[in-house]
Amino acid sequence: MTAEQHPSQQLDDLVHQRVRLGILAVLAQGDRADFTFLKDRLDLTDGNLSRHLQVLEEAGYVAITKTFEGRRTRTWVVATKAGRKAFGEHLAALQQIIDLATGDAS
Amino acid sequence: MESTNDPQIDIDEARRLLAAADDLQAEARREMAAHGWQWFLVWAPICLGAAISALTPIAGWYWLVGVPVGIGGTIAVSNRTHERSGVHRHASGYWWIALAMTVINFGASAVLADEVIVVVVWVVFGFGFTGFAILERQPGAAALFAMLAVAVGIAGPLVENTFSLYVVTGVVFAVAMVGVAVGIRSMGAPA
Repeated sequence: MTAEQHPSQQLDDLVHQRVRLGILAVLAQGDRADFTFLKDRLDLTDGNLSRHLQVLEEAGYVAITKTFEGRRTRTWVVATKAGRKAFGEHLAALQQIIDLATGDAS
Repeated sequence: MESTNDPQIDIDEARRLLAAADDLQAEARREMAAHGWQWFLVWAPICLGAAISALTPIAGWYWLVGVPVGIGGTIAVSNRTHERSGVHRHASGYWWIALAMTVINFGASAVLADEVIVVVVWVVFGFGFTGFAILERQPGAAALFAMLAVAVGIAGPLVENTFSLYVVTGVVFAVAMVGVAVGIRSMGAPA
């Protein structure tokens, strides 16, 4: 097998990072996720999560919106179509890597 | 798309990442399920009320109250879900389904005979509840409501007493809604 054919070539560096993969995993289930929910589930600080979101936003994988509920501002993160596609392809590539290594590839 | 330069991704790393993604998706589903059950509980008493009201003089105008209550409940649940849930779907799908059920049923009641409309109303609600279940990503519940809707649609022309069918179906729908709500809620309970 050549390096070009290896499924690892389909891995997206932006998505491959553990936290960013986690963000997209949560967003794959719902239409949008609360900043605090993501921070708690991924066990991150505000700054750390913000940096990862910024990377994803610059890649066009997520969009960030704010809503006002009384005096409180809530930050919502939404996966874009490109983000959902990148996440799906990344999972498929990871699965292919496992299948190839374990001889399950069809 | 950026690609990694290292073709030899560690298989253990791939497994870890997939497992972590699975866990987080499951957590997101649990978070949504912790609130999503309420949609179904809103409509259960309305279905039961329809069955009970059929035995009383208020049967004729029950839905004039029942439907606005259902829609009001749907909006209230969507607001509550919006406030409390950390991850959720847009509520517009639920509103559209509730609106479609209302328009179709009231429209049908204006043009169809009473013995037909008592069947049509449950077919419409059955498919509406199927839509709710699809929005909640609950394929089992969606299949259940779709089957109930089809069963009522098939039974309607076959039974002589559609009034009894109306009453029984109302109770069956109410019980099914409560069962689905309890099932979804238990899914959302912390492990």
